Amino acid sequence: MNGIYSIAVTIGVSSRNVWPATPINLVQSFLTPVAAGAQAQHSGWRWSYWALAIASSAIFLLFLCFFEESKYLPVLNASATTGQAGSASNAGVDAHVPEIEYYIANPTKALEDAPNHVAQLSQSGMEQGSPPMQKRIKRLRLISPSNENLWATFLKPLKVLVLFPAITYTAVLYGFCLVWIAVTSSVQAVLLPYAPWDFNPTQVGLMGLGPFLGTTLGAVYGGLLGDQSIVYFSRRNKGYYEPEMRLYLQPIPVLSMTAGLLMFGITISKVCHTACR
Amino acid sequence: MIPDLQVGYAQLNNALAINYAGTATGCIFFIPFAIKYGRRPVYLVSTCLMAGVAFWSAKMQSVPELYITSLLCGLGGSTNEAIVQMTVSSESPAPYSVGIQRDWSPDGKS
Repeated sequence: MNGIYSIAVTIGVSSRNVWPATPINLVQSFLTPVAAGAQAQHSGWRWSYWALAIASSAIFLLFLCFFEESKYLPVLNASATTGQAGSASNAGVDAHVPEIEYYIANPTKALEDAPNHVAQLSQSGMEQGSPPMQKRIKRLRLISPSNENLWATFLKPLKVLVLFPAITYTAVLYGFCLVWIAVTSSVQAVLLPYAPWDFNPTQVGLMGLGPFLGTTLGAVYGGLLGDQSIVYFSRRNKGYYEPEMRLYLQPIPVLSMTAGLLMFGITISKVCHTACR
Repeated sequence: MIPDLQVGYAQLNNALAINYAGTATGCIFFIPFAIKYGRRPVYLVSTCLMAGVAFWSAKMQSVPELYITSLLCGLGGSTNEAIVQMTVSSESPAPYSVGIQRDWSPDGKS
């Protein structure tokens, strides 16, 4: 049930704006158990799977007909340089050499002049123009091969995971956050239908409303406020964004997640100590 | 609570655990193909797998079927998060590139 609705997120995401897709992701994660519980109670459990089958078939057809390939396969138009002093390609590089030597000698000036150069570079990029968009039938092509080594691509993530401790740490941290989501929902599914709660499937499904509300607040905090905060911090740092600026907002989610898990575990265990089977 | 399959909550939780295992390991197999052959075939294969498994789940009759459908469902849904980020990053320009980060490699942005 989780996977198929999160595929639906991509339809909202492909318009280049991730923020509107976040509510869809939240609906998929936490509101579908509410609906599934109610449906299971009303028409039997098989109908939940039929609904999933219908939705996933619809999504497959939508993907088949409308989802465009976004992989970029540039065609390099190579042309021989004439080798003359006046040719356009050589003049570009030669003209910049004195500038480059000046900045190597004066690195602090390079830092000060960088914002102007950024503006110049982006303007020149726009004058050259981006490649034209391909025709619709080409955008819906099935396979877009490029000449990478497939085995090397399989091994790359394992190498990155082992060789960079920062990435290992981040992956383990993200994994633990998902672990707690899975564990809390499993514990609820195991304990709540029995004494002393005796929840029916609808009520167990409704337990998903809490995480839904929490993740909505978290999405606003981390997504909206987070993006605005890094713009603010980048301005304070002369326009240079450093990834560590994301850490300024971390303490509040850390404390709230810890507190929430402790409250959940301690309350359930205290009730179960006295009254569970 | 599925009396006609004779499963208890332990088996249902095992099935959910197998689903998560499929979700966890599916990306390792699917994403290299997304890099080499493009995003679209991987999207189509995973959505097709999800649809097929959902139809099979609605008609399943035994506990081993429950476990297998959970695993395949997890595999089908595993690529979602990663491939969404791949699509978004390959469509939009890198937000904080300052020219020195322009990628001139032949395979473009991936």
